[in-house]
Amino acid sequence: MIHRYKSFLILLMTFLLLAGGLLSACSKSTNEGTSNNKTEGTASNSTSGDGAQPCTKPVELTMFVDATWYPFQDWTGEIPDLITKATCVKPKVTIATDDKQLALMVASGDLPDLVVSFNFKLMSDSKLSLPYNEIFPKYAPDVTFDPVKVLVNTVNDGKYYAIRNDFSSESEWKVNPYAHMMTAGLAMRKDILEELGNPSIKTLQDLDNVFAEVKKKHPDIVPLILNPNWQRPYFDVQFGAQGGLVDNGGKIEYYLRQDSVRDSMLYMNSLYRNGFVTSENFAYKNESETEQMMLSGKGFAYTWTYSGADRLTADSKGKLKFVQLAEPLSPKASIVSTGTGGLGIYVTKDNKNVEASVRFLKYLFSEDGWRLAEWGIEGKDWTWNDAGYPVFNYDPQDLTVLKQKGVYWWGVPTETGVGMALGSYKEGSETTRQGEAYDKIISFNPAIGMISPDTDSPEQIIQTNIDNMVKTEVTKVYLAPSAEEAQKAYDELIKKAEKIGMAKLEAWATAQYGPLKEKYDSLKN
Amino acid sequence: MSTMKRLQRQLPFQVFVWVGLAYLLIFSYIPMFGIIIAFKDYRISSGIEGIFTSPWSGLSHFRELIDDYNFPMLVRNTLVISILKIIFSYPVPILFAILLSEVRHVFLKRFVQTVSYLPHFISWVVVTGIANAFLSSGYGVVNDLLLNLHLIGKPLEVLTNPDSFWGLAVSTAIWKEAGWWTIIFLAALAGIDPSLYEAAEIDGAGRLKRILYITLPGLKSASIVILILTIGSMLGGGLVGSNFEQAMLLGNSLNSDKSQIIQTYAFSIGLAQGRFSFATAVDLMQSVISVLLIFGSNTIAKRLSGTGLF
Repeated sequence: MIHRYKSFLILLMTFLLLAGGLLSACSKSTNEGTSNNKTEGTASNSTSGDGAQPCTKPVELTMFVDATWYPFQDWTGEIPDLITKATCVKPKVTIATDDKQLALMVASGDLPDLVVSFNFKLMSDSKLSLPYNEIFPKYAPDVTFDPVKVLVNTVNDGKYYAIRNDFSSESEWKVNPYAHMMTAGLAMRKDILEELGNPSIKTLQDLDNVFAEVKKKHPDIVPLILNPNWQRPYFDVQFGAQGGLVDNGGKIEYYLRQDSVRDSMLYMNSLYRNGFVTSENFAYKNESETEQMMLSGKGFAYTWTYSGADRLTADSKGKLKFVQLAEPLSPKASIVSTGTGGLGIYVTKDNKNVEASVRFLKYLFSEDGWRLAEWGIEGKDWTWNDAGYPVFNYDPQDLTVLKQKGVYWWGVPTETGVGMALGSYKEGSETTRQGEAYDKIISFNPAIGMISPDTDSPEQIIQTNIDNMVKTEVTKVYLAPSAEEAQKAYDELIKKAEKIGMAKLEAWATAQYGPLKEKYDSLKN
Repeated sequence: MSTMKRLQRQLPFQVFVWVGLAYLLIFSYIPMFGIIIAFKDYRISSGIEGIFTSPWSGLSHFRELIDDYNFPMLVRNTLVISILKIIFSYPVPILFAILLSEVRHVFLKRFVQTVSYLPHFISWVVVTGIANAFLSSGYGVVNDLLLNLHLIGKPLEVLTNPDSFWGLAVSTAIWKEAGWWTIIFLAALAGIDPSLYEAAEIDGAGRLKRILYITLPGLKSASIVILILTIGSMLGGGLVGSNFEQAMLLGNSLNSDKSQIIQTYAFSIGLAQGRFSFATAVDLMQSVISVLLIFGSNTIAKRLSGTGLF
């Protein structure tokens, strides 16, 4: 009898433990929500605005960073402490563990106070975020944003929910001659170039000749390794090809249709047919894999950004030196900058202290605040060169130093395009050399970047389907055994894009473009 | 005996059942309501209540899937990879279990068994890394070896050639999972009465005859149950599973014609783009096919052998 009673007791306890586990899993978020409320409730009573009163207990705001790769995990270090001191706000940071986390948070309605995200379309929604054009006039009426920035961030409901980073208007770029916009680039091994007698490379034909020479003299070295994230952009620039939507005399066309894009794709095919790139290169998915190949001496040239050579030289730790092919290789070479920004800081509907959030944002958007967050303390960490760029007293590429100080990455969400570029300026560097040469071929048209179909709209579905199709079909153009077959594969790709609905997408985009361009031009002039 | 009294007597056992039922209800049945978004225009910004309040869209997501120019290719790849896996991976653990049971050297038997099931614990990401290190045409050990031995003139493009993807998927899946499933069949073998073997031996039956007339019939029930379960999960890769992981990790733009399957499509077009309604429709379609397969295979198994799952 006692034995039976014992086994029953054990079973009952097992059941209770399991049931408890299930229930606690279900109620976890509720508990968290309650504790957050309490913290913020107390904090908000003790805050002061704009440092008018001493900050004794900073307001704690939950901040979710929707970028799994974000190098900073928390709000610590000398610089974050100074920002907290200036704003009396201390963000409690959570970095996304996977790229679906934000979508799930949105679906479950469990939003933090602030969200830092690239997902402009998702977050620019009155159901999720508070519009800047309502909260700034209320809590910081003295703040005004550049009208062009306001325009590129305004969505269909006429409101803007963020001022995204990395965007600067054309006029800002023009008054900052030391700010060079990031472009695609080609880095080459300096020792091999010297061995070949530093041949002049002024055209794509010259480049082909150099690749052929490298192949002949170093059969164990691949003449060109393509970074999987930067396969064609460098060559697109040389042919004057643009990505995404393209303005063709006021009418919007999808980039695939452009002759320049076709020429660039066919040129990639010639690189493969001539044995300058390997077929396996098109299967690589990770850029660290291809970078490693370059650093171990397996390749001669490498497609990356304008700072590719500097980064490869630094990463090879003195073993190899790289130079940038700094000059454009064709009179057709051109770049149309259509970007409208990237990361935005969104103040969510669930924000517990909008006043403190606006105060925090106001500081980060201010020149002083942003420079402190991104560059550090003026006079100590950096000094302003009279010519118009910062000179650093620490290595801004060294992540260990950045983490220790807590500098740079908390400035990124509010950095401007020009601000970011100025931070990369280094006299005499390969990056600067290409930046100076390529500035001459850049033109601006953010009105194109503003044409963006809504999530799940028929146009967005078409665009996504075309882009997914291109990812697999374009390899058939690159790896065709002859020029004729490459042309055929390109024609096939266009046919498939037409079948998916490319013309419909273009018609819709053209209808959107006219009014947007008109508005942009009126502000620009 | 009244129901209450019976319940009272069975209480300790009933508790186990209730926990299991609660688990199924909370994690398997309640979330099933979400399936309705396959027939709706659901947007993530509308939250959980959006599952119920979103407008109905009928069969539009299913129609979109069927109209997609990739659809025939996706169905072909999913079915071919799954069928190949059943054909080649299903008999392997059975044969392996029989072979192991015939090994008399205890240490060797345990060593082989351990080594063969260890890959089960390695994730597909690591397996893909190993496959790259061995088979890459640029730096793979196998290609280096074959080239140095002058057995091939140029590297074999196993990882990038579309024609080798199906073979690669099946062989790596067998390598990873066959040892693990062997354990089930070894357990079934342990249940066979040893006196049957002794009697057969006295009657003059050789090793092959004993396998044929005692071991194989002894494995029949376990084999059929596992075959039915395998067919039910066929579109996910069956016994050795992992169709999705393989297609995601071993698939690339060069072999995509043979490596893209319905699940990767649902992921890249549906989930990665935030089109949850469409992703649900794609997955629902696959689930319906799987349910039909499990009922079909159960009926056939019952007719042929008298043994079935239900």
